[in-house]
Amino acid sequence: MVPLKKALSSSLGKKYLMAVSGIALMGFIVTHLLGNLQLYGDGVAFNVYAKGLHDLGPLLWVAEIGLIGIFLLHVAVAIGLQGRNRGARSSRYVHAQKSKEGPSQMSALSKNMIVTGGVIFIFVVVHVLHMKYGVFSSEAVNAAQVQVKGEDAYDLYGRVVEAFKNPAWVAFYVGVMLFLGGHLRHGFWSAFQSLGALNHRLERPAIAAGAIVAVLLAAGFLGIPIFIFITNQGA
Amino acid sequence: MNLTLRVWKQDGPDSAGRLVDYPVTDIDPNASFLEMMDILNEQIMKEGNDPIEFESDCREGICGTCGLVINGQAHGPKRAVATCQLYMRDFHDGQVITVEPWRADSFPVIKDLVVDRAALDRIISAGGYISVRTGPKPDANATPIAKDKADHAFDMAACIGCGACVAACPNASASLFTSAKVSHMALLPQGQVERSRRVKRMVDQMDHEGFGNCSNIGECSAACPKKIPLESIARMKREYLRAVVIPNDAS
Ligand code: SF4
Ligand code: FES
Repeated sequence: MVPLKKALSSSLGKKYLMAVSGIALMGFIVTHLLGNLQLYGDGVAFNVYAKGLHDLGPLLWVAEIGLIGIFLLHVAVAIGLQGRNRGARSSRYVHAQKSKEGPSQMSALSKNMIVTGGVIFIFVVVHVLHMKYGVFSSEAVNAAQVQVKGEDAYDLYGRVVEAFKNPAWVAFYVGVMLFLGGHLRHGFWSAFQSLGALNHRLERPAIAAGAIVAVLLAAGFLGIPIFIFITNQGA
Repeated sequence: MNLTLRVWKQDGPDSAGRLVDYPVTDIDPNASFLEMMDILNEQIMKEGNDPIEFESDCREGICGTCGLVINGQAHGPKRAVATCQLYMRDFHDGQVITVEPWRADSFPVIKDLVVDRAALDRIISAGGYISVRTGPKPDANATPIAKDKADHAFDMAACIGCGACVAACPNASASLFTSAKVSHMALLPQGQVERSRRVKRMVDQMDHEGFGNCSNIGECSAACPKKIPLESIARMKREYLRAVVIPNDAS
């Protein structure tokens, strides 16, 4: 029998951790996108939704702390894995490694998960400061209040619109979402493979599903800034 | 065919290596890659120099000793063959061919293109065996094994321990090799007694040897001369998870 602690610190165990945290994070991303789809509307529904979340109070705190924990675990284990992988071949090939294709998933994306992941990490920090704390928003927008069901609430929609009238923010968000798609392209199927959930019948469908998930999520998110930018021209 | 061979020369495990260019002329396209290397070595020796060290034994894809990384590909450009089964017709006249050893810190270079793959042997010693007494040859079908399982176990047993999976992996991971051995025995009744212990010990040893982690890149399977599939790594992950919850009944 393998003791759990030992199991999780082995090379396989670290991948189980990456997979489980990765699947949890993908679950969050899907929920986040579903909520944000309301940004394709007139903003009223979005502010109602934002207030609803905010009103969860302590429950929201618990969820947020859990999410941060999972996120940091995913990042920390990834850094450890990467260090070990680099160290396993300290004398590199002179002629660059070339894929023999066939069953191989070797690509710039699969080999650079740490890079796409790093970009996403930086983005998450900026994004939370931006949209949750209003660090990059104008005072007027941060002070603005709207009426939601007769109660005062933050005008989160206003903050989003202000940001995405600025082409620089649009470019930043759109760019990072391409990295997110790239990360999921390999990350989605990889999570299931790391858990041993795949076999020769499920492998190809899982890889294909990863491509679909990557495109849908990236497109869903990056459409928001573009949509808001276009619909607020001249406004 | 006339070619330029750009070969890794390294005096020993601790010396620095470098690529050296050798012209080779008049090679028959139907010569094997290793025959071409033999011709080159004869030419080098005639000039009074040290030949290029490389390993080979069976020259028919069985022993697993002949691995070379050719133009960045373990066992060269063809899939499902070992270097010894590669022919010069898969190259073109005038080509520059870079030949490097398997590169992994767990495979120290002994000389030139020869590496020490004993790390793989140590993974096998850690658990790649059965210790039940199998006795004399049993009657046919005395131990029924479903055909699909027998076939699958046989496919896994085809691994020749060449180490191309490690060489081809961007992380120098030995997961495909280890998983082939784990799967082979986990599928057969004789392997059940030590099933949990085996996967634990082999994975421990694999980690201990300093191989990298599996990032599910799958280049190992593409480079494997015996076409061990990625699914075998998934099976090893399941076997390991199983060993977390199921203590070994016979230990
Ligand atoms: S799994 Fe394939 S590539 Fe790896 S050692 Fe076995 S035969 Fe060689
Ligand atoms: S020499 Fe035996 S496998 Fe190539």
